[in-house]
Amino acid sequence: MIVAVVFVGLILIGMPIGFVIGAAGVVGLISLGGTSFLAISPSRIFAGLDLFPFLAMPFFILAGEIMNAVGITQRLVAFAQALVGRFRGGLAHSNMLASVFFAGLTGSATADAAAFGRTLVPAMVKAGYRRDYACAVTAAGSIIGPTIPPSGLMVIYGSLMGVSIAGLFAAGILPGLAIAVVCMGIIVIGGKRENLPVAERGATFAEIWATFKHSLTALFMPIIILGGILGGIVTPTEAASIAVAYALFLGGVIYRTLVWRDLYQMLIRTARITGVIFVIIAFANILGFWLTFERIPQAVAQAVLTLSENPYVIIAIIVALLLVVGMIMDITAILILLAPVLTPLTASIGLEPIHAGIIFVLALNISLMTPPVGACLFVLSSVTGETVERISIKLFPFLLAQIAVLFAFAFMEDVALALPRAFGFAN
Amino acid sequence: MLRLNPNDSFLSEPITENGLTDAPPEKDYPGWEFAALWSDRINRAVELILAILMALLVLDVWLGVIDRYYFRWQLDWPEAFARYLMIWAALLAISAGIARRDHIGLMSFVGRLPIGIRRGLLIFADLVTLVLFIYLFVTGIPFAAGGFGREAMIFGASMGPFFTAIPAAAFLASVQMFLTLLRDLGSHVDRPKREESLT
Repeated sequence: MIVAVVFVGLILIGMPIGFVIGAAGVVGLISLGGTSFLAISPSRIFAGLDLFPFLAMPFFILAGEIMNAVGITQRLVAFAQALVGRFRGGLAHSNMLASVFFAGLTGSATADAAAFGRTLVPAMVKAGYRRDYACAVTAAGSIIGPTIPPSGLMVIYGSLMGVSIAGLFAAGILPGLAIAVVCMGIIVIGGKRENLPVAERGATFAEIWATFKHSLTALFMPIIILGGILGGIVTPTEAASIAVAYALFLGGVIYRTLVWRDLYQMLIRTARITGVIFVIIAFANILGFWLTFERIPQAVAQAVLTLSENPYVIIAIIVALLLVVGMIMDITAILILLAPVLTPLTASIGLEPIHAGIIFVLALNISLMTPPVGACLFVLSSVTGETVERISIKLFPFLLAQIAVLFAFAFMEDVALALPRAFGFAN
Repeated sequence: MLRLNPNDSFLSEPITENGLTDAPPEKDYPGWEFAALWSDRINRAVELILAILMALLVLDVWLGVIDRYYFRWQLDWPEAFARYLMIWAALLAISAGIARRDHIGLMSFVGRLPIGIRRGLLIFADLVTLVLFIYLFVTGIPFAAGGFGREAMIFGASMGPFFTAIPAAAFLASVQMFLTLLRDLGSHVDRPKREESLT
């Protein structure tokens, strides 16, 4: 009880979530046995971070930083625009399609939202779109990034829960594409109501070919990453390091847009992002000790199972819990804290670990754009000047459609595991 | 009074990212100049180390990949070394995150409170963080000392240098938290970051 009070109290006063977890964990240790458990924190932290698969994360972050810096966004947007710019709401469709291309590079929703918020939103406003609508489309598309691999959340989940990261990557492809398709459907359905502009002319085949060639080298990146991992040739960490090498090669040799001096800042920024995530993981190992000692995961599983033993109901409860908690807490922290708590529950209803993982990741990604603290909303609000409230209203249909996709993949195991099974990662 | 000019030798991007150039503190209180100056100086030194560690990490993993797929020397140390480099870098980066206020909390509630109460609560949150890292530093010292008696899987070294990451990072985080607390005194929410969320 005291741990929960400290946890909630410190969150409410604005203490960073990683430190809240640490403080609550220490209070938990004290509640277990006074000062006798206090000495275990350093060893818990070290052991919790000492996992080779975690290395994939800083490498994917660094590769994304480099790809962003060398101007890959503009090339991908140009190609997407050439492909779908001819339709009503062409720039909105381009935004969504570019998010799919971008997804194979960064795996970060906020990076996607920031990049497109600075480039595509102003372009859409200039072309006659309402700014709140442009922001909503960008927010909706931004979660495709961490759904289609590479994905930082999948790396964390796989590393912590001992689940194949490659299998999770394979499982993320179809939901990511499905989200893009349903969001483009929402754009089509709302096209007339929103009075979305129609392009004066579509791109010619020659223009499509030219933009394709221009972005081809960038489009190779996800092929290298996914092909290597899913083909069983390289581990995710190795693939991530190759992605960094490829990004440097593109920026330094092919595009010649990489400013080597900037690499210093990219390395630092990568370390900082890693630090922000890893402090949560580090301290969660202290709180996790208390959770395990008090048998909280088992208690939660039992409590939920008393409500219903129907697997669909339990999946719905898990999804609802993740979406609600995702409204107010950092998703990395939620994953690290709740995945071990909820895993006994998913195991009790026979959910395949990769399937459970993709449900967690999808639900948490969607919560990145739910008010009041959806990170993507705030990024877009800060880079475009649009209010979070107005973006949220326009975002609502996209949100509903994405939740529908989430439930579809949560309830249909055969669909959700189609690719992992095809590549031999799941039974 | 310290002038927050981006052209100053020790104040360029980092402080700008924290938004301080846009809205300097309202009062010139004792210790602010010292705290801002030393927070920035320490952070620059830490970030230089971070850049070196990250560069080493990249080179180390590349070496492991090249070895595995080309040279086949079957080196056993790159993987373990990479893990320890990552731990050192990630833990040291905590203090950089504190200096730049990268570690973000939920501000929806506290942001609606009157300014005096809000600043008081944020100062309290910083103090709790400070105590947390001091605790980790104190408990980390015997942990690191114990590591010198345990053999690591690389170079015949002990685990001591790697375990030292915990007290060293906790010490730096404590110092940085103290200076940042003094620098901001709960006003950092009133000066929103210009940079988007890191994660």
